[in-house]
Amino acid sequence: MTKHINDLNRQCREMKIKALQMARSTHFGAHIGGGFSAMEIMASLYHVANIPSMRNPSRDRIIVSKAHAVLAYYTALWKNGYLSEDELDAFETDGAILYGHPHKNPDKGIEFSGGSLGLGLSYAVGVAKACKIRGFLNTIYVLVGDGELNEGIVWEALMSISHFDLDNMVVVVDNNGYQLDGPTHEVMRLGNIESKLRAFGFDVDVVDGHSIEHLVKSLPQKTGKPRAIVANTVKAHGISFLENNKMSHQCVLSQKKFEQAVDDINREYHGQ
Amino acid sequence: MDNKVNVKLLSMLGQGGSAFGISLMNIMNERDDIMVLSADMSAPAGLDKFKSAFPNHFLNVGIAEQNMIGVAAGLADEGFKVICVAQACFITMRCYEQVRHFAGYMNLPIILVGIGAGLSLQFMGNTHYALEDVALMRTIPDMTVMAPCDSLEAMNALEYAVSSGGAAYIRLLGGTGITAVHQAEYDFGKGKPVVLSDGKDVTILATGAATSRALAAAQALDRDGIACTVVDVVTLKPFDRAVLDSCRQNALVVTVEEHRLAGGLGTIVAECFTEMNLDVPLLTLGVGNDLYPNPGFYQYMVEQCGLDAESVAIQIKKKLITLK
Repeated sequence: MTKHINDLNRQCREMKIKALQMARSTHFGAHIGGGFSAMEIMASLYHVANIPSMRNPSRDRIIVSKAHAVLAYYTALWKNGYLSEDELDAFETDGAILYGHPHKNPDKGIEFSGGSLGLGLSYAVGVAKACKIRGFLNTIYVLVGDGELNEGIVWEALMSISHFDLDNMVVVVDNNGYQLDGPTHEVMRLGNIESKLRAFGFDVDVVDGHSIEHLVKSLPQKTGKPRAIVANTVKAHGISFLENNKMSHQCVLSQKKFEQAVDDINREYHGQ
Repeated sequence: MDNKVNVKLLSMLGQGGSAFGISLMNIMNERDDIMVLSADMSAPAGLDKFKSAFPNHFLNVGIAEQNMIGVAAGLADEGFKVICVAQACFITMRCYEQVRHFAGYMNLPIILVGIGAGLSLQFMGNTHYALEDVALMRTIPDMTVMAPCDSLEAMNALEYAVSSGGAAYIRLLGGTGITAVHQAEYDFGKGKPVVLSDGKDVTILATGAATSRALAAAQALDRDGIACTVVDVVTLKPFDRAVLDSCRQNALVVTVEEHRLAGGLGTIVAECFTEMNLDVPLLTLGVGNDLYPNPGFYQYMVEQCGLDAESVAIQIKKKLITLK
């Protein structure tokens, strides 16, 4: 494996341990499942995106529409120098800047205030169109969840991305197969996401969403069409007692469970 | 604009035709950052001329108001001045949450223009009437809410909204052949209330389509010896409560609006009365909170709601009798 893949894997391990500490510290519990399905995606996004400065208008954009992925988002922002460890440690305390859904804060690398599902993708269409009008050659990356695809506005936005020929957009679907109430096929069957996105005019790649190697290869490709990447993931990936368990959506970690989860992560990266 | 306006032409063009066919074209001479978005409603709004002159400044998002507001937000956040146009009922209700999120929470200065407000869509039926739009939009922090009473005022409202730099909702009537309330250019300021006639007995605060009928009602009352001040309240939010100071000496204050009583001008004024400790009787006239009016021609619609000039005058007289 090349050096940057090794570096990113190491980074993911640190993100996950920090995310567990953040989750452990919360009073009401954190969105562990949807955070841990997106760890490799967030790390890879910040690796491939060209963001010289948040003040640079032609920077690539990373817009997190799946806003409850904050454990992955905030820890990736930390590893990329936007957030300090102190800021992460203050997660979900009174008056802190980091809470359950991100609030737009360019100084901290946060492009968009999320929380209401589907809105980030629609907003990103406007950003992508604006960048096209200005003649920028940048890329607008948007992370959406598979459960989020239930929202009607997502399909309105997808339709418009294709209609406006926004080939500067890459929509990444964190396809972890679960939403709050249970498996997506039980709650609201999505069918074949890949063929639905193709039918909406996208070039679609299907990748292992926990493989840094696959993600960093697929993300930066340009095909002259809007792109979607279906990243197949596991909800609460790497935490043995929470994987494929709907309880992982938002849960409190006891000290014992926290230690068990840390052990799981350390085992996963043993020897790397 | 020249002080002498062609009132007849503006009336014929309607509010949309005047605002988008004249004002917006003037605005385009001065700025290059305008983007107009429509949810498949550009032709009825009077945008045809704009679209053919400035195709790169126009986006049709299809019949998808929610996405329209999201796209507008992205463009606005990148520095464009965005005007969104759709029917008043849909641009405020179908996408209320998007407006709350982007214009409110993210504080993006999007301008919403709702056409066909109030009862103006007549035979389209209750799905198409906008009778709750003001109530909804005034809950969005920092959003200006305006209901111009005629074509000239619609032009002034759009020009002000574009220049002010904040989020705004402008409620426009449908169709053409709008009755002109203002016969010549006047000082619009920041959308301050305009006193249309002076009288010591009753103050009638009117907004939007109801303004011309409130004026006609006042003229009828004047013939019966009841002198009315009529105020054109173009800006519902922020509401200029200074206009209420002079009401303290009146026998009665009346609000007239083509909107449900819940949440519109009547509610706004009642809130001010409470906060200002005003001890003056208040009569609020609007569309009943429990009423789904029967579709029909416009005159039939306003009569059902008691909002034609004659009904307004009668209700004011009845109220004055109970106060004696």
